[in-house]
Amino acid sequence: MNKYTRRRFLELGCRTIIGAGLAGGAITHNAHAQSNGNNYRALVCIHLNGGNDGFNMVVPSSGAAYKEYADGRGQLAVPASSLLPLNPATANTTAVGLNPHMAALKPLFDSGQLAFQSNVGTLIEPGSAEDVRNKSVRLPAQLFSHNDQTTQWQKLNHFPGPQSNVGWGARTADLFASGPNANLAAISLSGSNNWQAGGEFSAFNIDSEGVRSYAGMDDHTAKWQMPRREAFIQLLHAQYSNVFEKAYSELQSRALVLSTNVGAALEKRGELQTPVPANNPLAAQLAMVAKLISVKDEFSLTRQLFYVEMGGFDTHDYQLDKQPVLFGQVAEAMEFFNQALTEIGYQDDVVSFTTSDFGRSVTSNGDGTDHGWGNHHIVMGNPVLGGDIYGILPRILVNGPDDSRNGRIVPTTAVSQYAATLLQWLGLSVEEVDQLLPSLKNFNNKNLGFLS
Amino acid sequence: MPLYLPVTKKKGGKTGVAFFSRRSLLTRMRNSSGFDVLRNVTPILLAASFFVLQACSGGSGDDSSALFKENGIDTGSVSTAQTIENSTIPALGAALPAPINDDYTAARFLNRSTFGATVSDIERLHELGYSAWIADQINKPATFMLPETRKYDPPRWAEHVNSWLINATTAEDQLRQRVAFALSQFFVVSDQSGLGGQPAALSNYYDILVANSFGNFRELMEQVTLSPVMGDYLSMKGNQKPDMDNAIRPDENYARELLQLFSIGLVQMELDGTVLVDDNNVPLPTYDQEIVEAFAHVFTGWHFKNVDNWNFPKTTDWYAPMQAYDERHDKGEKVLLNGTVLPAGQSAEQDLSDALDNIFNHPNVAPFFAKHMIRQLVTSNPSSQYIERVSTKFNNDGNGVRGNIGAVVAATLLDDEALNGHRRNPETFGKLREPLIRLTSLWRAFSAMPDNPDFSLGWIGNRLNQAPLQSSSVFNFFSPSFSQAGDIRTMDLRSPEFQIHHESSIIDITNTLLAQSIWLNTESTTDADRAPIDITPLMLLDGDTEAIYELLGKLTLAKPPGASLRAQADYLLNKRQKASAEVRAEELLFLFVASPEAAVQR
Repeated sequence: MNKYTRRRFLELGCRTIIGAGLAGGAITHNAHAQSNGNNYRALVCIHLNGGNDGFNMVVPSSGAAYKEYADGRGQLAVPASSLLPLNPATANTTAVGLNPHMAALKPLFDSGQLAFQSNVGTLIEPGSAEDVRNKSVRLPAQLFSHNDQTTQWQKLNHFPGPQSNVGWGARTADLFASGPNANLAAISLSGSNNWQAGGEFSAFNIDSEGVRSYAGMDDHTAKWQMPRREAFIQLLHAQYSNVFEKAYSELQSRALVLSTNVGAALEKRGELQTPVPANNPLAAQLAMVAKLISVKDEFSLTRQLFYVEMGGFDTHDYQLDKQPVLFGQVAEAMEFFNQALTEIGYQDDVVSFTTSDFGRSVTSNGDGTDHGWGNHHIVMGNPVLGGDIYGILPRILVNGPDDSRNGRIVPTTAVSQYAATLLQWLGLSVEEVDQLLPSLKNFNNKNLGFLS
Repeated sequence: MPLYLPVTKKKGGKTGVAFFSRRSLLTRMRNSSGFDVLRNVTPILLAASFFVLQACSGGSGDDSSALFKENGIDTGSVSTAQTIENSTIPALGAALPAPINDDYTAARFLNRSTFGATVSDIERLHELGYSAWIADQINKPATFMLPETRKYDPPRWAEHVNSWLINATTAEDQLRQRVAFALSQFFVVSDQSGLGGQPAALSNYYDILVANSFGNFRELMEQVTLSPVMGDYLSMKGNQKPDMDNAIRPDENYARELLQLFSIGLVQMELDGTVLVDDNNVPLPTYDQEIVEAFAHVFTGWHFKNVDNWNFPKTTDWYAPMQAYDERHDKGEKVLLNGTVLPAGQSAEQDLSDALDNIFNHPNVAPFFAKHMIRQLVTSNPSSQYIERVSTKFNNDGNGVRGNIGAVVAATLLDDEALNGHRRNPETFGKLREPLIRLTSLWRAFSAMPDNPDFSLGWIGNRLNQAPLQSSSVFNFFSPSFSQAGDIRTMDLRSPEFQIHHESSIIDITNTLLAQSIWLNTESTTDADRAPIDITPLMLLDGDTEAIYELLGKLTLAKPPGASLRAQADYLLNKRQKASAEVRAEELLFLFVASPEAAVQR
């Protein structure tokens, strides 16, 4: 067993929030009204793989701030005239606009269903860019490396310990997961990922096409083929002493049971009414998430964590060609998902948020950008106190006051704070998130306020 | 004429490196006929320690000065011939390999060194013994991918996948092919990028790996670096010196991944792979951001050969190595690994050559590469001693040559732990087999011939969650540190291949094996784009249950079936008493290939 199990977590002195008492209404410290009585909440992590260029997503739109940005970005700068002006509820010092290729998100921002969290990144403790340059603050290991930074985002593993190899999604899912469908507390639409990895229960994997069935061996198999199915299943129940054989048979067994059950529920449910945008893999994944949410009662689930992913954001080259497509797809997919949630009646119960390896350098390499650090992120859903930009907008100035070195902006919000805010909405108390996210103790503000 | 001398350990754990720069060699070549010769630099460096292996095994030993030629292909980016100059007594380190007692032992070895054991390979291995078999394989002419891909003009979609499947299944030089596949998961490029429409260029890239499978790591690293395919994939192609007027800085993409993934990794290691840590138990990094930026400056000034326009090239030679354009190269001083300084004013070629030397001679390369090869070929969780033995071979093949990949391969396959680990640690030794290799194993074992002109399985990646040159990123199909939930993770073990196995893909993989073993095994199969297998050998044994189990055990498990597999096989045979011999054979075959025992290589 993992050393970090649900039981161990409870031994640490946390309030019991699992099991039968989990129903949404039982979480009294969270004032959010369950308008439709679904007794359910879900987080949807939208991972933008490769390091999304958030500084081209929300951009200073005028004056000296725009000039600083444009000087750094050279020909990659988004023209000021094309930016869609944002009027955040809380006035920022800098006027900003939304990238025109994300126009689909503007109405959601304006109607208060979407917000941006500014300049988030991996941090162990607070520190200014000057502290970073002076090396007077502890820094995350292997900054600017894709897999390391993604792992840190997803595991918040800045301190060694039993939790360090467990994603914060998995740690959370372990609190809620129980019973025969425990593996469905965390579902990935895009394969293995560190956010959901390492917990007591493996995340269930499905993709936008739905579950697979065993050809020639499923429940509907002709009678004469049944011996094959029986022998195959019996083999999975055998005892295997080699760890690889054992793990393989366990996975095959789980696939057999869960795919059958989830497949049956999805088949019964049928398709969404909301049209799924074509040629948009992210939208296709989110469509499946919406369908899975709508059948969650079949599996007695009250809390779920979904993971979807879109690649292509590592825009070292051809950024001018690639970025409009990437931004357009993200915006289109998120707008669609918002509509789909309304269709299934879960618009008040689901919060989507973006993650990415890192932001990108505010410099240019001619036709692209390099690996950066701090990054702007999107949160969406009815529970979001939208129409606002949270956190501090950094100066997008190469070797300026917020730059660690050559255009890599130092984050002003830690991933652990971002995660803590999301998890408190899901139903965890401040004490619980402090236990769950060890580096959070170094930050005073444990709720960024973008969720009601 | 050893160019690379082994690392020498200095006091205090720091490792110093003694080597002759390749500069002198390069300079000579450039002087004679220009830098382009580089691509044809024949690894004089390829000393032949493996040939000596024959002596150990008592093999025929008549091949002291073997010459093997690789069929020239129409590109300069791979070495066209490699001459084995001499042969000396090997330093295999460990004692002589264990004898090959039985067919299961032979099959186990072949499952690591080929794309799947066959009856004839098992016989051949018995005949030659391990070492001579390896030498024999190294001597075989290389089978390249580009000629296969070029059979269609223009190549069909994902033609390189078809070419790979054909070569993996049918090529005679199986060891070379298997090593090339392992290398393709180290020096990763992928069609999941702007290269998606370039099956011929991707094939040509793969041929660099094929050509250098037993060559020198330094040479391979250079050919990979200069490949326009890699140049495109990691954006070194078109990378240029700083241009502050236009706010342009060098692209760090290739610099970073070359260091992180293709050579030394992120953290300092001992020869045995142990990570070095500071007083606070924090791993010591191998480099920092400043070094990445320095290498990014090194890799400026390269583009397609004879490119007409830097930003919008129309002349796009995807086959020749990239060419240096000195006016786009940063001429500043660069401080590289271990404080090595490249003086200002050097040419693009000189900077590149010196920088690759700098990387190649870092002490991390040996354990980093050794771990990769052991995990690819033999076991996911090698002991530190095993890693150290293979690393040692990397640093010195016995003839004073550093980076001899052939010697690393031989050391990996012939190590005592490779040959006996399944007995000593039966519960943890081995690895999950890659889905692609489960398919090729089935095909090879039962003589599938993907030789129909219409053969087309370019979409196989959708079914196996793995296809050659098709990983989702430069981080390969799976991470070497992936650890499957359950006992594997609890025991702090690694299981890289499990990362591409989940509830959806394991069903797809099982279905693929079902289709290939049951639906596609007879003459009646009409799908011309498939590769039907021949199960006649099983049908001929119909009625002799023990003989069938033995044959299936050899070819699908490399061991006799376990008790539960036997019991289920008995059950199926009983249920199929009235069916034909063909039905009995195919049902048993599927049960075996889909079993958890067949999914694991031990």
